[in-house]
Amino acid sequence: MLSKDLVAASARPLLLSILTKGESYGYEIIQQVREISGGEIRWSDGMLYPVLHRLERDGLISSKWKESDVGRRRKYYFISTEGRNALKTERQQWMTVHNTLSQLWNIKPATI
Amino acid sequence: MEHQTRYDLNAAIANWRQKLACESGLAPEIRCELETHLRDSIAGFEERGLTAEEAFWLAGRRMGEPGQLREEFAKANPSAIWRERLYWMTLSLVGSYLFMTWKDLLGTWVNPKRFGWVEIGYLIPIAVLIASVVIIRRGKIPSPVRPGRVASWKLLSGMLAILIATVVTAYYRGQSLAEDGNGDASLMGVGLAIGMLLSWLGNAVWPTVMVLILLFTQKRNEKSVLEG
Repeated sequence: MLSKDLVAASARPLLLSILTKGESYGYEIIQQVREISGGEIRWSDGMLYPVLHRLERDGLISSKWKESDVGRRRKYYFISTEGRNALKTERQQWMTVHNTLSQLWNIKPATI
Repeated sequence: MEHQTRYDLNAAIANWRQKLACESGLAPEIRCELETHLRDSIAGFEERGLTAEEAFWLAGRRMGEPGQLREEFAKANPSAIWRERLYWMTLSLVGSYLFMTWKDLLGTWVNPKRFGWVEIGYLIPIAVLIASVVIIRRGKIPSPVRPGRVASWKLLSGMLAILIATVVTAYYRGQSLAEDGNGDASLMGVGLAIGMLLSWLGNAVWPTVMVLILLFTQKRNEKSVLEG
């Protein structure tokens, strides 16, 4: 399990990365993160929405209410151009950390 | 005859929704989004073989307590809280203005010798206040006046408009009183306007003090678990 600080720091790039793959809604995002991380990254359901709303306010993502196939109204989130640009910068920074640690631990560095 | 009581999932969700509605910082749109999430989550657990009761309990736990949720949203968007406080402050000022001005006017316009009309004037704002509290506690705020949808500048101009309206109303009221033979028209108009303005400001003092106390006691540097 990740530490609280690391969960907080990685939430933004994780959310932006998931949304680059296409529109999604809160519940689906949490499921995806849990699945991809092999259950290692577990977000508390209620904590996700303040972060999503913050990203939306910052203009990195946008949202739209849609009716789902089971008749439930869901808020779908999309990444904006600004969001994609922010993710690029974020990605470079994470890769820098990753590569530095990899070299220190004698693991083959990843490519950006 | 079936004696076994069935678990009413819809009632449980309705109860959860009610609790969430009591948290002042959560806008109806946020509550709607959280409810959809809860329902998705329950459906997911039920698919995995849990009973409705177990699924509801687990989904509720994963979501977190309503108070906790409100705090998380507040941390992510502190300005929304200030907008909301300013909003309620304006509403209370509108209420006090209506109360002070119109109850007197009602009494003057209607035959003053007939007892009873002025008291009805007193009752109106009290009824409005009670109704508002009930409506807000139930989380049902009409969409055009939702706090999140009113910009700060609109609130401020609203306050200014009330202030001007107070002075103007008081001025003309003073004049009409003077015309009835009670003294110098312009002087009474000005006097009433100043009096009304002062008492209006007096009413504004308490909400302002309250907001200032909240401002200075606000917890700072609180980081959300998932804050980006």
